Amino acid sequence: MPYFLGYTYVAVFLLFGILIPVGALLANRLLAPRHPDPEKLQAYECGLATPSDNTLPYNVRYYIFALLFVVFDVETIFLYPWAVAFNRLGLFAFVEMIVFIGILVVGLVYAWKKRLLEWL
Amino acid sequence: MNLAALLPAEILAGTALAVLLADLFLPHRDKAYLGLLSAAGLAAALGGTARQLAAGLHASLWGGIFLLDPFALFFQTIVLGAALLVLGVSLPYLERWGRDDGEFYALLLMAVLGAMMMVASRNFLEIYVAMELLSVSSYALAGFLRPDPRSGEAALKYYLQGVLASAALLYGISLLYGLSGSLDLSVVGARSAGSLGVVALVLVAGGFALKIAAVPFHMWAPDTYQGAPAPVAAFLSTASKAAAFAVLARVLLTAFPAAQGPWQELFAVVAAASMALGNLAALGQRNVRRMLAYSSIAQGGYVLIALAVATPTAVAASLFYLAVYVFMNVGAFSVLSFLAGPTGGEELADLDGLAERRPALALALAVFLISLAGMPLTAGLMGKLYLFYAAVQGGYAWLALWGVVFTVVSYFYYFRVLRHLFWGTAPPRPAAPAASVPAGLALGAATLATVLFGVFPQPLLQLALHSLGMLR
Amino acid sequence: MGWLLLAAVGLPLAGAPVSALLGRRPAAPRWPALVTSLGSLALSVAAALTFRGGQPGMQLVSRLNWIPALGIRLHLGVDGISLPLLLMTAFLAATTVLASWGVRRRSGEYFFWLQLLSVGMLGVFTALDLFVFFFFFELALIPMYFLIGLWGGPRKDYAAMKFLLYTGLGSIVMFLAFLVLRFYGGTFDLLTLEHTRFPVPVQLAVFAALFLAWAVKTPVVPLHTWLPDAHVEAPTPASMLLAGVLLKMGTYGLLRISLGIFPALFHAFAPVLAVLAVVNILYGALLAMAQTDLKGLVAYASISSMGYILLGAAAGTGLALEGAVLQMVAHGLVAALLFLAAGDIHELAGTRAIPALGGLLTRAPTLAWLSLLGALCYLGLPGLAVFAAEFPIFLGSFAAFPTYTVLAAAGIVLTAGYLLWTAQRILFGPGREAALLPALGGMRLLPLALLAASLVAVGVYPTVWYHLIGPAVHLLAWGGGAR
Repeated sequence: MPYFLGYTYVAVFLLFGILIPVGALLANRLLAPRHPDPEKLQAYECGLATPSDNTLPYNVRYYIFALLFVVFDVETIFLYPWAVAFNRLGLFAFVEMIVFIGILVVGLVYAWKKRLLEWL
Repeated sequence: MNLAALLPAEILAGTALAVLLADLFLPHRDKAYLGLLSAAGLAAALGGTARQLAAGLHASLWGGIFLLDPFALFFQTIVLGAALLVLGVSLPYLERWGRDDGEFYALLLMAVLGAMMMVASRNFLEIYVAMELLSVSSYALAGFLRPDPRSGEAALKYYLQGVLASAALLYGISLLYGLSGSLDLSVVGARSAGSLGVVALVLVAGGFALKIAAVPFHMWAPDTYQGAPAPVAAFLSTASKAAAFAVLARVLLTAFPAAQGPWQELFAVVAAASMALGNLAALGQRNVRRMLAYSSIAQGGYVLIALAVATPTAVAASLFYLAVYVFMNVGAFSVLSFLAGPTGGEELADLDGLAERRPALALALAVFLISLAGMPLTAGLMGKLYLFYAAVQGGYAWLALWGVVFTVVSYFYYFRVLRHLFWGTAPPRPAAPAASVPAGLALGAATLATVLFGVFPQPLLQLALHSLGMLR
Repeated sequence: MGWLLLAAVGLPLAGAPVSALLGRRPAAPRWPALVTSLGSLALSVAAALTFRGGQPGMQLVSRLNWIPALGIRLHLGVDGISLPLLLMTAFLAATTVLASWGVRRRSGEYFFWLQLLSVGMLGVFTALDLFVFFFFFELALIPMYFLIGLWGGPRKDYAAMKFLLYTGLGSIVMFLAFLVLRFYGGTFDLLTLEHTRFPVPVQLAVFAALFLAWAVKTPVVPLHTWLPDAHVEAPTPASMLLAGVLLKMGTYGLLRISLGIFPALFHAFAPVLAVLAVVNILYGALLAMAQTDLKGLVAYASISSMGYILLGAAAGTGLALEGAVLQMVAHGLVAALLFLAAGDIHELAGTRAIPALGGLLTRAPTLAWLSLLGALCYLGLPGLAVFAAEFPIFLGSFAAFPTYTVLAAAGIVLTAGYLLWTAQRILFGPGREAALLPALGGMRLLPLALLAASLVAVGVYPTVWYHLIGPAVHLLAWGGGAR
C-alpha cells in the first residue's frame, strides 16, 4: 500500500492541473459583479472616447522603441544603488558596471547599425 | 579565483559580443570569418572546460551561487561539444539559405552561455536567469529563417509554450522562496516539506520538463524541430535538453534528496509516457525531421528513467546516455540539414537511394539511426545497457521492460528510414550540395564517436561515474 | 590458445570495411570476404585440432576486459556443444561467399554485410559472457535486414521488416532477462551464473523471457511466421545462413543458457517443450507439403526439422541431447545445400514454382543429382548426416516420451513424402520451363559440391562428432542416464 501512496503526488499533480483553470473561471463567475454596459466594452484609452477601431495596426517600430527604452530605463535601477554605494565598493564594482554598460552599449550600437533608431 | 574559474564562460561571452559587433562592420563577403571566430571561441571554451573537468575542479563561486563541480563541468562539456558540432554544420547550411549573418553565431553562443551557466548554478534565481538567456536565444534561433513561414511557426510555438513553462518555473520558485526564505538549492529543500512544497516542486519540474520535451510538455517539439533550421533543431534536441536535464537532476538530488523523493513515481510516469508517446507517434511520420522530433521525445523518456530510479548508477547512466546522444542526434539532424532545400526535401521519399547518390551521408545517417535504435557496435546500445541495468538494479524493472518493448517499436521507424536510404529507387534529382570542410569534420567526428563509444565505452562511463561527486 | 577464437571471430570484422571500400570495382569486394571466411574456417579447424576431445568443460578460453565498469569481459571459449556449431558456421560462411561469387550489384555493401553477419554468428557460438552473447546475437540482425532488403525478392520490404521486428523483440526481451540475471547473480559470466541460485519468481520470469527469445529464433510454431517470409524473399546465400546458422542460435541458447542456468526449471518444462516439438514437426511438414515455391518448401521443412532438435532437448537423455546437437550441425549443412540448390534452379529455369519445373535431371544433371542427395539426406537416409543425428534423437527420446517420439517419427514419413514427391516432379519427367538455359558451370557447382561432400563426411563417420559432443552434453543430461 505505501507503494501506491507514492502515486498520490501524481494524482495531486493532475488534480491541480485541472482545478486551477476551472477554479479561476468559476471564481470569476461567482464573485464578479455583472452590470453590462456598452461603455464597458470600449477599449480603454486613458479616459478619452475611442476615436476608431482599436485593432488598427501599429508600426512595429513603436515596440522596438519601447523595448530599447525599457532596457535603458531598467539600467538606472542598477546604476542608482551602485552610485550611492560607489565609495565603499571599490575598483571591482567600477569595472563590473563598465562591463555591464558596455554590453548595453553593444546592444545600442547593434540597434543603431540596424537602423532601428530611425523613424522610417 | 572566481573569475579565473569562469574563464571558459567569459571567453564565450566575449566571442558572442565580438561576433555581434563585427557583424555590423564586416562587408558581406567576409561574413564567413564570423563563423570561424565563433568556432574558435567555442573550441577555446571547450578546451578550458575539458581541462577543468580533467583536473577535477570543484569550486564554489560567489558565495555558492555557482558551483563548478565535475557534474556541472561534464554537462558544460556536453553542451559545448554539441554546439561545436552544430556550428560546423551550420556554416554551409546558412550559406545555402543566404542567412550567414553573424547574428546566428552570436545567438548560438549566447544560448550556449546560458546553458553553461544554468548547469553550474546552485541558486534558483541564477538558474532562472541563465535559462532565460538560453530560451530567448533559442526562440530567435528557431525563427531564424525569416522568409520561411514554418520557421516562424516553429519560433512562435516554442516561444508561447516556453513562456508558459517559464511562468510555471517562476511561480514554483516563488513558492519555494516563500516556504524556505532562500533561493539556495542546498537550503530550499530541507525547509520546503509539506504539500505546498510538492506543488512547488511539480511547477519547477514542469518548467524544466518543457526543455526536455518530456511528455505532458512535449507539444512544441515536433513543430519546432521540423520548422526550425535543422542545425538549431539539433541544438535544441541535444544541448538544451541536456542542460535542462542536468539542472533538474541537481535540483531534485541536492535540494530534494531521494529520501524525500515523492518525485520518483512522478518521473517514472513521465518517462513511461514519453517513451510510449514518442515512439508511437514517430511510427506514422512521413517527414523524417518530424519523425526525429518524436524520436527525441522518446529518447528523453529513456534518460528520465534515471530520475525515476535516482541511484548513482542511474544518474551516471544518464550522463553517459546524454553524452553519446549528442553525437547521434546532432548527427542525424545534420545529415538532414544537407538534404533539405527551401522546398522541403525531408520526406521519406526524398531519402530514396541516398546511398547511391551520397554514400558518405547515407552511411553516417545509418550509423546515427542504428545507434538511436540501440543496436550493437554503436554507442546507443551501451547507453541503453547502462540505463536499463540501472532501472533493474534500482527496483524499476517494469520501467526497463517498458523501455525495451518500445525500443522494438522504434526499430520500425528507424529501419524504415534505412530502407529508403539504401534501397529506395529515386527519380534522378539535382545532387545535394557538396559538404564543406567544417561540416564534414563535424559529421565525421560524430560518426566516429558514435561507433567508438559503442565499442569502447569504458572511458566515457568512467568519466560519467566520476562526475557524480556532488550528488552526495 | 584463447587467441584462436578471438581471431576467428574478429577476422571478418577486419575484412568487412575493406570490402566496403573496394565497392567501386564490382569484382573486388568478394576477395577480402573469401580471405577472411577461409581464415576463420582455418582458425576454427585449428581450434578443433587443439581441442582435447572426450572431456567436458570449456577450452581455448580467452578473457579480455571490455567494460570493467559493468564487469563485462570478452569471455570466449568452446566446449563439445559449441565447437561443432562453430565449425559448421565457419564452413557455411565460406561456402556462402563462394555461392555469392557472382554478386555484382553493390557488391561492396553486400560483402560488408555478409562478413558482419559472420562476426555475429561466430561470436554467438563462442561467447561465454551474457552481454557478449547478446551483442553478437543482435549484431546478426542488422546485416540480415540489409541482405534481405537490398538483394531480396519482390516482397523484400515486408519480409525484412517482419524479420527485424520479430527477432528484435526476441533478442531485446532476452537482453532484459540478462540484465535481471546480472542483478541477481552479480555477473554476466555464464559459467559463474550456472552455479548461482536464483529466487524462484526470478527464475520463472527470466526463463519465460529467454524461452520467448529462443522460440522466436528457432522458431517454435506460433511464433514462426517471420521465417517463411524471410527465407523466401532473402537472396540465396542469405537464406543459406538464415536456415543454416541463425535458427541454431535459438536452440543453442536454449541448451547453453536456459538449460545451463535453470536445469531444474528446464526439466519441469520439458514435457511442454516436447509437445511444442511435435507440433513443430508435424505442422512444418504438413505445410511444406502444400508449398508450390521451392524455397517455401525448404523453409517449412526447416521448421519441421527444428522440431527434432527441440524434441531431443526436451527428452534430456545423453543420447537425445547428442543427437540434438548433431542435428543442429546436420540441418545447418543440408538446409544450406537445399536453399542453394533452390536458388540455382531458380536461376537456371527462371522460376521456383514447383508445378512449372520438370526434367532437370537431363538438363542439369550435376545440379539435379546433388539436390537429390540433399533431399535424401534430409529425409534421413542412412549414411548421410541427418540420419546420424536424428537416429540418436529417436533412440534417446523414446525412453522419455514414447508417444511423442512415435508421432515425431511419423513426421519422417511426411518428410520423405513431400521431398520425394517434389523430387519426382522437378527432377524427373519432361522439361516444362519456357526458357532453356545453359547448365551452370563448374565454379557455380563448387559450393554445392562442398556441402554435399560435408553431408557424406558427417554421415559416414559420425563417431568423431559423437566423441566431441558426448562429454559436454552428458553434463547436462538428466533423463534416462547414460547412452
